[in-house]
This record gives sequence, structure tokens and C-alpha cells, in this order.
Amino acid sequence: MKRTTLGEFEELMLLLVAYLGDEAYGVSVYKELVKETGRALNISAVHVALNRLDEKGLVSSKYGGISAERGGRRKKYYSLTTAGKTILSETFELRKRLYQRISFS
Amino acid sequence: MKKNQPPKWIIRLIEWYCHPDYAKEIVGDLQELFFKWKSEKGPFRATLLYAFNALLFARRYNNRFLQNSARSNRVMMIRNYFFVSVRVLMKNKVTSAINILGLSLGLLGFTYIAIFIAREQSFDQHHQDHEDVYRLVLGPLDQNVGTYAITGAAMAPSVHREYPGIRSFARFRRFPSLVSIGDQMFYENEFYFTDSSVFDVFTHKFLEGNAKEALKEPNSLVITESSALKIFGSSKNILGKTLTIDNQLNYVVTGVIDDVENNSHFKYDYLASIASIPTHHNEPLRTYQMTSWYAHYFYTFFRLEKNVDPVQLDQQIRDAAKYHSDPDDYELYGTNMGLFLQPLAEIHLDPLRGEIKPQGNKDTLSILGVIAIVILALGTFNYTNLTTAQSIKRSKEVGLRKTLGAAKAQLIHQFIIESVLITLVSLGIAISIVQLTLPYFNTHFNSQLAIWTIETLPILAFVFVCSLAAGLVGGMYPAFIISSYKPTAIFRGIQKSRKGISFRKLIVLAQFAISMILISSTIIIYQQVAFMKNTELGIDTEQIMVIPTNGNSSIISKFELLKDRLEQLPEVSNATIAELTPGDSFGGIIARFEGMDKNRSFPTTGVSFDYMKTFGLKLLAGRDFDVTITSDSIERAIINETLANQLGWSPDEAIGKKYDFGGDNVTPGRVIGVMEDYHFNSLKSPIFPIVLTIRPAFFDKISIRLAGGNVVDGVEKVKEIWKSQYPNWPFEYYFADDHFYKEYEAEQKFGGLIFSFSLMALVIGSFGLLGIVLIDTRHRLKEICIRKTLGAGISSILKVLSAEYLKIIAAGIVISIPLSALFARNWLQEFAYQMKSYTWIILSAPFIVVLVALVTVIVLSINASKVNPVEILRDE
Repeated sequence: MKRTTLGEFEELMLLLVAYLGDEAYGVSVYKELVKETGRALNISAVHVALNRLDEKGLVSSKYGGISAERGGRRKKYYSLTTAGKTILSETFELRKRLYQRISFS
Repeated sequence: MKKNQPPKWIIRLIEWYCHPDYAKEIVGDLQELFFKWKSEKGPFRATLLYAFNALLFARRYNNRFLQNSARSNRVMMIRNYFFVSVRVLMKNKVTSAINILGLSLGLLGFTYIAIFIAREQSFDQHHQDHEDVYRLVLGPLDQNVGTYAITGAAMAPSVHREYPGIRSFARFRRFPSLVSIGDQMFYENEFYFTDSSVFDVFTHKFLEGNAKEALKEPNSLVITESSALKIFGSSKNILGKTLTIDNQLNYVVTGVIDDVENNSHFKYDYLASIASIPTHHNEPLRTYQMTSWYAHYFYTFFRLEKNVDPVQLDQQIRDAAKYHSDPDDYELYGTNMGLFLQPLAEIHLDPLRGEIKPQGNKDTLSILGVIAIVILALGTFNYTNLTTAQSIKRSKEVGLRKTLGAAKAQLIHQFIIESVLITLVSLGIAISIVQLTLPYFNTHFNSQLAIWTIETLPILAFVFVCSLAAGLVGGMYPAFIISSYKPTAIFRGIQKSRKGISFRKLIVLAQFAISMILISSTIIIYQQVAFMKNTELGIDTEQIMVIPTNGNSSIISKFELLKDRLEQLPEVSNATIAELTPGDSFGGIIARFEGMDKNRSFPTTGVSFDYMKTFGLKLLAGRDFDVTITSDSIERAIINETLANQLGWSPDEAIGKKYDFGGDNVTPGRVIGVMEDYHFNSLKSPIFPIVLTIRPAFFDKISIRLAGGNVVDGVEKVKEIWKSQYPNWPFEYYFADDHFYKEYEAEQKFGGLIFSFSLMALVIGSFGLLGIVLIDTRHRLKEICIRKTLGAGISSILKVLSAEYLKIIAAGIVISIPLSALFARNWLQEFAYQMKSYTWIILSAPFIVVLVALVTVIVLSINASKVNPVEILRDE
């Protein structure tokens, strides 16, 4: 099978979805992302990334509760799939392995 | 709480373009953010951000029209049509190339003509409120139409005074002048005297100076930016500088304006105030030309008030001469001096007699318009024809599509998309070629066409729409033919549907007929021009140098000296000074000949001694002016034969008849000679009566006849003498024949245009024929091979293959001949003198086309007949 590779932004997305757990939906991921990275981003970029991850099968989505401040529209919650978890830990392992080989003198 | 909500329409917009699967999430998220932004940045910025982000969401993944689901079948099919079209194009490289080249050529011609016509129609419309600007023109009262562009200086002020509704007027008197500063000097032809209100009539931007004040004072001069650059090397800080005019007047620059637009019916580089005329050195200019209602030297423009009905005003001023001019004069000329208003924007395409420079021609435009459509149609027909012919090849594809459920409409869509695609590619090519060739076109035809300007944008849009339409029309017929095939018939192999053949024949026929008509028209135009150029004029214009003096008395007064010195040169045979040289237009002068009870106006020109000798005019009776007979300078006349006939005299009878210049009974003279008729103007107009008389006040142009042999040396020698005699005057000259032939420029240009288009039509037609024959011979390969195996030789196969086309070509000839004859008759009508016989041209021109067609058919047929039957018939 073709190995799925992760882009930097996608990796961040996965991490944030994993971290936010049950509360991972568009706006929360966006707020967290802006808070943690300080990047100037648009919400649409987050949506595009989440969609792509969904297509790749790394996250799954389901509709959740209705809230008043959303004008009665449901949130779409995202959660990591097994494939998502695997690729995230693989990426992390790779980084760790490489990082440990560096000698910062 | 309505205010707390994000704008409804944006939500609706998102919900419209978004796939419903995504819309909810997006709108929800955005709304949440909206409240966050509102509390942080205020409602206004929140709304902006909301709208901005909503736009950013318009992406492919959530677009419901591009969605990759069952609903977007249509989009997928269009993509598929596109790919299939490209594949078909690539597969049939030759026919595609023929199609695209033919269409490109058609569109090329069409685009050129479109921008040309648009340009011609754009003249003089850059002035603010140009629709309120009218030119005052003259015409006979009984014909009720203005015919003459030049008016008297006295007219504008009195019409302006007496008739309400005229906001301002501007009179223009062209007076070529020598402009000098320091040791630089330039003869400026576009030098005009004009009214101070001129800038209310014609809009100009003032780089320096003030529109209202600039031309108020005498001796003030407004110059254009490019003249400023030419003389001062800069267009800044030149107000108040003094320029010397004609070596004796000092004019002060009071304004610098932007250059006159190229699409103006006349151009001025220098505008001097009309208030300077009373102190001008030229006597006729400062006297009767300014005051007489009946001396016509000015172009007059009116700007009307907004609420004025021009038709009514035109009626009111019609007979103004009756009330505003000398009653005796009115008696004499009145009926020919009706005043008319001509809209400024119509001048260029509806020129009158006496225009400053050659203008456009409505008929030419209509002919070109027809050609544009015809050429585009030719290219489009090619496409239709080739595609229809090829349809059999694609019948399997159609059969398969139909079997798999394609509706007829879908197939039609597909073929139309294909043809539109080809058209667009061709349009791209055509526009690129226009872009590349435009500079050459402009130099050759002396035009200023441009393609990428704001003015041409609507034209380009028009061309685009037309080519789309052409694509649609061209694709329509094959689309219907092909999509009507029955799958069962196709797969069973019954495909010899010869339907469409007659239509195709018709198209080839039309193409050939049109090519033939265009080619014989080209030849007729060229032949007529050649005929006019080669006809003996009766006046000799060769090897005559003309040096204009522009009415400068300091040159004219020393002419006799110059003449003596020049005539001593072996390179010069004669020199003379006169008012006009061949090709100039005559003015009428009142006179009375013996036996007339009333004065009449006769075309008259002031000449000096040796005029007849210099221009090689021949006497029928009487004698030439003689410098030794003093009375020859006093109202003596030499008339031409036409005039003698008009007055009812034979040449011999005419001699000694009384002639009264001006009809004033002051020093009346006699007719002393009768000349053979000659063409003073082009052969477009018939020979008219001419009076020559010695009139130093009219002297203007010096004509020098060089003795045969070395012209260059002659000019050099003349220049030396000129320089020593007139050190302050530039030596500028032209040759009389060049000047005369300028009268044929319009015809030559027109001929060139028609020639280009007939070439195009011929090439398109040959491409069409090439394609058709190519496809046809391919279809008939089996037939050819069977014939060969049965023993047919190449020549008999050739006969079989080309017989059909020979018939079409013959029919083309039959159709084209009467139509060419019709064109020839109509076009030649505007010439007073026509070439003798054009029957041979009309009869023979089609054979150029026949030759091209025959070569095409024969080469292809020979190719086809050379195939080895074994290869083709193997699988039978």
C-alpha cells in the first residue's frame, strides 16, 4: 500500500484534533492553532486541511450537538482514526530517532 | 437582536454554492467566529471578516457544482467532450490544421476589418459634447444638401449674432507658414488662424497657458506638445517665447496643448489668433478673405447650445446669405450658397468637396464590411464542410455513445463544443497574427490602427462573440448530421449515407465563386488605377519640381531674378510661378465673356509667363502669353477647348473675344489663346472649363521643369541658386507628378485591401478544397483500387476523381462572372474616365482560381491513384 505522508500543517492538525479530544471541531481547532502557533490563518484553511485528512482516512467526523451561538447549526466533530494515530506516532518516532542522533556540542 | 447576526445574504450565498454536506459546518463555524470577532473588534470589522472568510471558503472540495458525485454528471461530460475534442484534433492532424488555418485566416480578415471599420467610425468623437459640434458647409439651395466644406470668414460671426442657439464658433484658415527661432526654421503646413473660442468647440488639454485667454490677443500662438518639442526641445516653460513667422512677423507662444488626436478629420500643429490677421503680410488674407461673404477660405465649426434642435437651426440659417450679404452678390451666387450644418462626427465618412485632407469613404466601409462577413463565412463553411465530410469516420464513436445512452442533444452539445473550441484556438491565432502584422499594415496603408486599447475593447468583444457564433453555426450542421445516425445502421456497416454531399458541393461552389469575384475585382481596381496613371493627361507633370512659396511676397517679388538664373542652367528648361499645380483644386472667379448678358463664375487660375511651356500645354489657336507684350498682364485670357465649346465658339472664333475678369467692366481684356483640353485633376472627374490669366496677386507655387537626364544633379543646382538668392527660406520642394498621383492614393489603398482579402479568400477556398478532396479520395480508395485492378490507368482514374470538382469549378465561373461584372460597373461609375474594356478581366480572372483548384485536385488525385491495390483490398 502507498504510504501516506503528512505535511507539516496536517501533522499540526492531527495533533490538535488528538489533543482536543471530544471538543475537536472547526472553530476549536482554529482557535487552538492560532493560540499555539500565533500564525495568521483563515478558518477556511483549517476546513480544507481537516477535509483532506478525512479523505485520507486519518480522521473521522460526525455531527454533534446544536448550540445557540451557531444559529442552530450542528458542529462537526473530528476524531483520530487508527490510521491517524499510527501515522502520528510513526512521524513522532521518526523525529525523535533523528533528533536523538544529533549531538549539540 | 437582528444586529447581532451576520449578514443573511452571505449565509445564503454559502448555502448556495456549498455542497449541503459542508454548508452547515461552515456557516456554523463562521457564525461562532463572528461573535468572537464582534466582541474583539466591533460589529463592522466582524462583518467584513465574516464576508472575507466566506469568500475564502469558495473552494473546490465543497463546491456543489464541481462535486465528484452523481449530480455533477454534466460537468464530467463536458470535460469528457473537451478531452475527446482534443483527441480528435490531434488524431486528424491534417484536417485539423486545415480547419484551424482556414478559420484563423477568416477571423484574421474579420478582425482586421472590424478594427478598421471601428476606427473609421470613431473620428472626431473625442471632443467633449462632440454631438453639439457642427461644421458650417455650403450647398446649392435647390439640392438641399451641403456639398462644399469651405466657407467665408464673414459667415460665422453674422450667423452667430443673428440666430440664437449657437454657443460658440471656431473658424480655421490654413496658412502654411515658415516658423523660425534662432537659426532653426520649419515650414509648417498645419498652421492655422483661428478664433479664441476654438477651445470651447474642440476640447484640448492645456499643458501651459489658459484656454479662455490664449488666443484673445493679436500675434498670439498656441502650439501642440509635439511642435513644442520639435522647436524648443521641451514642452515646459515656453510661454511668452517669441517665434518668427515668415521671416517678418513675431508671434508669442501663449499656450501649449496636447496633440490633435490621430482620428481627427484634420490636424493642426499651430493655432494663431485670428486677431493677428489684420497685420499679416498677405494682402488677400487680410482684406477680402476676411470680409467677403463670397470668398471661401475658412472652415467653420459651431458648438450649439444643449437645448437647440440642429435640424431647425439648419433650416433657419439656410438662406442667411440673402439677409447678410451684398444683394448684388446674392443675385449672382445666392442659390449656390445655402448654409448647411454637418455634424462633426460625420465629416470623416461623409466628406465634401474641399476637405483639408483625404477622408474616409462610406462605400469602402460597406464593401469591406461585406467582405468581412464573407471571409468569416468562408472559414466557417470550411469547418462545416470538413467536419461533415469526416463524420463517417466518427460514426462508430457516435454509435457507441448512442448505445450507451447518449441523447441526441448531448451529441449535439459535444460537436458544438468541439467546433467552438476550434474557433477559439483559431481566434487566438488570428489575434496573435493581427498583433504581429499590425505595424506593417499601418505603415503600408498609412493608418493608425491599434488592437489593445480601451476603444477597441468593445470591438474585440464583438469579434469574440462573432467567432463564438461562427463556431456555433459552423458546428451546428455537422452536429445534427452526425447525431442523427442510427446506431444499428452504423454497426451493420450501412454508412454510405451520401446525405450532405450536395450541401458540401454548394459550399465549395460558394467559396470558389467568391474567390473569383474578389480576384477579378482586384484586377479591375488595379487596372483602372493603372489606366488613369498611364493616360496622357495633356499636361506634362514629369520632371517638374514645385517649390511652394505659401504666398510669401518676399519670395515672389524676386521670382523673375530666380527664373533668369535658373533658366541659364543647362539642367533647367523652364521655370514659372502660378497659383496651382496639377492635382490642386480650382476656385471659381467671376467673369464675363463676350456675348454673355450676366456674370458667371469660371474655374480660373492665376499664372505667369511660360506657364504653358513649363507644363507642356498645346495651343489650338491664338498665342501664349508674351512677356514682351505689356497688355498681356491685363485681363488677357487663355481658355481651354471645353470652355470655348461651352461658349459656342470654335477655337479660332474664340480669339479676340472680350473677357472681363471680375465682370466689373474695369479694364476688360480679350481671349488671346485656346488650349487643347488637358486633365488638371484626376481622371475621376471630367475635364472642366479652364481660364488662365496673368495675376501676380495669386502667385504661389514655383514650378521648375528640369531638362532630361540627371534629375538629382538638377535638383542640386536649383538648390544652390535658391540658397544664394533666398538664404532665409528653406529649400523644400515636391515633384508635380507625385503630387498629382496622390489623387489616386485612396484607390490604390482600396485595391491593396481587396487584394489582401482576395488572397485570403483564395487560400481559405483552397484549404477547403484540399480538405474535401483529401477526405473524398480516402473514402474512395477502395473504388480506386478496384478500378486499378480492373485495369484503369492513372489518367482515367484522375478523370473519375476530378470530374465532380471540375463541374463545381465550372459552376463557380458561371456564377462569378455576372457578379464581377456588376461590381465592375458600379465601382467604375464614380470615374469620369474608365478603362476601355474590362470584359477580358472578368472572363479571365476566374482562371487563376481554376488553376489553383486544378493543381490541388490533380496532385491529390495522383497521390490517391498511386496506392497499391493490394494494401487496400487485402482485407476484403
